[in-house]
Amino acid sequence: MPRNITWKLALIVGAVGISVWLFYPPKDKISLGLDLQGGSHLLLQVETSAAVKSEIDLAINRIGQFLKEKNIPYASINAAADGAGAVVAGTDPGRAADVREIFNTIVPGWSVSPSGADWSVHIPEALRKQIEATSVDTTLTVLRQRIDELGVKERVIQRQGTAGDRIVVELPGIEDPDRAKGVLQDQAVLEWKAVAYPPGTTDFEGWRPPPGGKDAVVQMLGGSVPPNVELVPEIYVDAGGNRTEYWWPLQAVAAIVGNDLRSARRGADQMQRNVVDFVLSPEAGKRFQAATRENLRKKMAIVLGSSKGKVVISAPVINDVITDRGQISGRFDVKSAEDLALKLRSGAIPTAVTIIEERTVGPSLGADSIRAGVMASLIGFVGVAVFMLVYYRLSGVNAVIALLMNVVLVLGAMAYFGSTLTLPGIAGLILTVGMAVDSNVLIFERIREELRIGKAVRTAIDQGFSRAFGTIVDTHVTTIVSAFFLFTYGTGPVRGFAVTLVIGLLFSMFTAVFVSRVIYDLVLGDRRNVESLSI
Amino acid sequence: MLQLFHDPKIDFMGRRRMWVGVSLTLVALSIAILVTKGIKEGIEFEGGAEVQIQYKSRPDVAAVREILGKSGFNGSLVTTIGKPEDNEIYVRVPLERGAKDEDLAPRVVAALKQAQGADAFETRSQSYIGPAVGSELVKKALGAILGSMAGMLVYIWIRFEFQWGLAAVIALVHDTIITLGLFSLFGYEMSLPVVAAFLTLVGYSVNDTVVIFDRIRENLKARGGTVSSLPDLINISMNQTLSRTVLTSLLTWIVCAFLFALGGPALRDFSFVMVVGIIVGTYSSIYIAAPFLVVWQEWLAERAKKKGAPASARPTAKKLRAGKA
Repeated sequence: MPRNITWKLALIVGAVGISVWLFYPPKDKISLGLDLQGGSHLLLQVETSAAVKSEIDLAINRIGQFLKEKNIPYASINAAADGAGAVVAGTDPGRAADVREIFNTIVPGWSVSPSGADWSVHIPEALRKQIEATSVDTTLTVLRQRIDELGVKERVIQRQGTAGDRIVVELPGIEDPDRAKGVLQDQAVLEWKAVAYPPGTTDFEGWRPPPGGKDAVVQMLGGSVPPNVELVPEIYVDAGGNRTEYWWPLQAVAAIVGNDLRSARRGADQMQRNVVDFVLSPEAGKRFQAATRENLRKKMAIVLGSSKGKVVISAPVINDVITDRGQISGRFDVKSAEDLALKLRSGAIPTAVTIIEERTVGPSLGADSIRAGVMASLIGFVGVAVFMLVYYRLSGVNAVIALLMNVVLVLGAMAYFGSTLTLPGIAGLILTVGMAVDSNVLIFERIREELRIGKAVRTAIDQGFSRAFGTIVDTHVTTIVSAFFLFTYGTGPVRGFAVTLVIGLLFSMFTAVFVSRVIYDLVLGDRRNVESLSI
Repeated sequence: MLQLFHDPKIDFMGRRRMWVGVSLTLVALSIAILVTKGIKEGIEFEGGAEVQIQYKSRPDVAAVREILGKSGFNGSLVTTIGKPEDNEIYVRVPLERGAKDEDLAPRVVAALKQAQGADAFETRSQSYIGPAVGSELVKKALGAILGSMAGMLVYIWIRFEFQWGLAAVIALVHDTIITLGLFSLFGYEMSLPVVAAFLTLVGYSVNDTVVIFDRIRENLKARGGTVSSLPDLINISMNQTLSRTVLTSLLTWIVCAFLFALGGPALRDFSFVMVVGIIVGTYSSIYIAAPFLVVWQEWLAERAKKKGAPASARPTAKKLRAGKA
C-alpha cells in the first residue's frame, strides 16, 4: 500500500461517519424551512413615529397633572402642529419660573420656548432617534413574549433591514395564522379617559351617547368637536348580527395609560361571564387614584387601542376611588378574554406594527413539496450516476462514490450548523451534485488526455489531478462568489439555497480531489506497473 | 473507451463572425421581446395577495372568478395549479396602487368560504406582500446580479488579465439577456427563486469560460508566451476541453431537466432558467468569450498601427499576457 494512505482513509471514513451520525435520522436532525414543514413567515414594519407621538401624549398628560397640582392656571395643552412637541397656552405669566421648573422635571432635555403666556416644548432630534430605536427594541421584546405565550416552538424573531425598523417573525407549524397575526399586531393600549359631557348635562351618572352615529353626538357638542375632545365608538352587535355604534365624546388626553400593568388574566364575574382582571403598578395606581377622585360620580371610558383603531370597551360610573386593581368586562368569550389578557400582560407594543409581507404554507403543501423535490433530486442523481458509469466505467464508480459522499457531508454539515433545508435548498443540493461532478469530469478528461499521449497510468493520474486542480479552484471560486451575492440578496428559502450550494461546493473540493485520489491509490495499490485504467 | 468527441478538430474561430452575428441577433430579439412583451411580475414585485387552495373535487375556476368579482376583488387571477387530479387552484389578487391591505389574503379565503362552504377546500398557502417591498426587491436583485458580475470580473482579472475578465462578463450579459428573453417569451413569472436562478446561472455559466481560459493560458505558456496565431491557439484549447465542456453541461442540464419536469410547480420557473441558461451559457463560452480575446487583440494591433508603431507589432499572443497562473 502506498504511504500515508492509512491516515487518509481514516480521515475519509471519519468524516463520513461523523456526518451520518450528525444527520441521521434526518427527520429529527435536519430542520426544515417553513416552505417544507408549513408555517408563517411575517415581515413587520415598526411605525416608529407612533412611539414619538405616544411619548408626547404622555408628556401632555403629566404636564397637565403637574400644573393642576401646583395650582397654576392654564387654558389648554395640545400637541404641537408639527407633531414633535406640545403647546401649553394661557398660563399665568407671574408663575413662569414654576412652569419652567415643571418642564425641567417632566421633559428634561426638551427645548423650551416661551412666548408670553404660551409655552412650546419640542423633542430634540437626538432624543427622537433614541425613542424610535428604543421602540423597536421594546417591540421585539414584546413580540417575543407574546409568541412564546402562544407556544410556538423554534420561532424566529429578528430585526431586519438597513433602517433597523423591520422585524422578521417565523412561526413554524402554526395552525391559525390569522390569530397569530392579531396577537402580534395589536397594540392593546389600555386607556382610561374621562367623558367630555356635552354642555348642559345634568345627569352625569345616567348619560349615554345617542344612537345615530357620530353626527348626533357632534350636534350635541354644538356642531363641532372641540380640539381637546375625541370621539370613540362603543360597538354593540346583537344576536342577529346588527351593529350599533355609540360614539362617546372623551377627553383627548387619557387620564391614565395602562401600559404599565403588573398582571392581567382571564377571570369571571358574579354572572360567570368572562372578564379580564388586572393589577396596575403602584405608580400607575397613584395616577389612577387621582383621576378617579377627580371624576367621582361621573363616567370614565375604558378605551382599548389596537391596530384596528380605538374602541370603548365599557364606560362605568366611578363610584369609588380606585387605586391599582380593576376588572374589564365586555362581551368576551374564553379565547378573546385570554388573548386580551395576553396582550395586556405582555405590555403594549409602543408603536403600530404593520405587516408588509406574509407567507404561510400549510403542512400538506409542504409535505407535497418535499416529496416532489426529493423525487426529482433522486432521479437527477441516478441520471448523473448512470451517465458517469457508462461513460467512465470503473472510474465512474469512483466519481459516484465521491458524489454520494458529497451529499452525505453536506447533510452532516447542515445538521451541525443547524441550517434549514428549504425547497430551493433541495434544488441547491442536487444542483451541487451537478456541479461537483464537473470536478470529476475535469480530472478524468485530463487523465484520458495524458493516457492518449502515451503516458503511464500512474503518471497520467498524477498529472490529471495536479493539472486540473487550478481549474477546479477557479470554477469553485466563481460559483462561490455568485452564491455570496445570492445570500446577501435573498431571504429565507433563497438563503437556504445559497447555503447548501456553498457548503456543497466546498465539500466537492474535498471529495472530487482528495477522496477520488485516495480511491485510485487504494485500487491500484502498490503494483509497480499498472497497464490499463478503466476510464 | 466511450467518447463524445474523438480527437475533435473543429474550427470554432473560423466562423466566429457568423456566430457573433447570430448572438447579436438573438440578443436583439430578446431585447425586443422584453420591450414589447415585458416580464410578468410575480407577487413579490407587484404587491398583493396569493392563495393556493385544494378542493375535494374538481374545482370550477369560472365560479371562483365570479365569486371574487362579486366580492370586489378586482383584477384577480385564478388558475389551476399542479396536476389535474390535485384539484388545486391558485388565486392572486393585486393591491390597489399605493394601498396596503394586510388582511387581503384572509379576506379572499373568507369570501370563498362564505360562497362555497367552509369545508369545500383546504387552504394550502397564503401570502401577502405589501406595496413597499416590490421596488426594494428589484433594486436588490439588480444589485446582486451586477455585483456578482463585478465579482467575476475582478476575480478573473486577478487570475488572468483585465480583458479576460471583460470577455467573461460580456458572455454573462449575453446569457442573461437571452435567457430573460426566452423567459418572457414563454410567459414565466419573475419571483424570488427565479432571481436566485439567474444568480446561480451567472456563477455556473462562467465556469465553462474559466475552464477554457485556463487551458488557453496553459497552452500559451507551453509555447513560451508567443504564438503565431491566437485564433489557432484558442481553437486547440477549445477542442481539448470540448468533451469536458459538453459533458459537464449535459450532466448539470440533466439534473435541472428532472427538476423542471418532476420538481412540482414551486420549482418549475426556477429550473426553467437553469435549463435554458445552461445551454446558452455553454454556447457563449465557446462562441462569445474566447473570440472576444481575439477581437481585443486585433483592436490593440489596430491602435498600435495608427500610432505608427513598427510593423513588428503584428498581432501576436505576446501581447496577450495571461497573468500569473
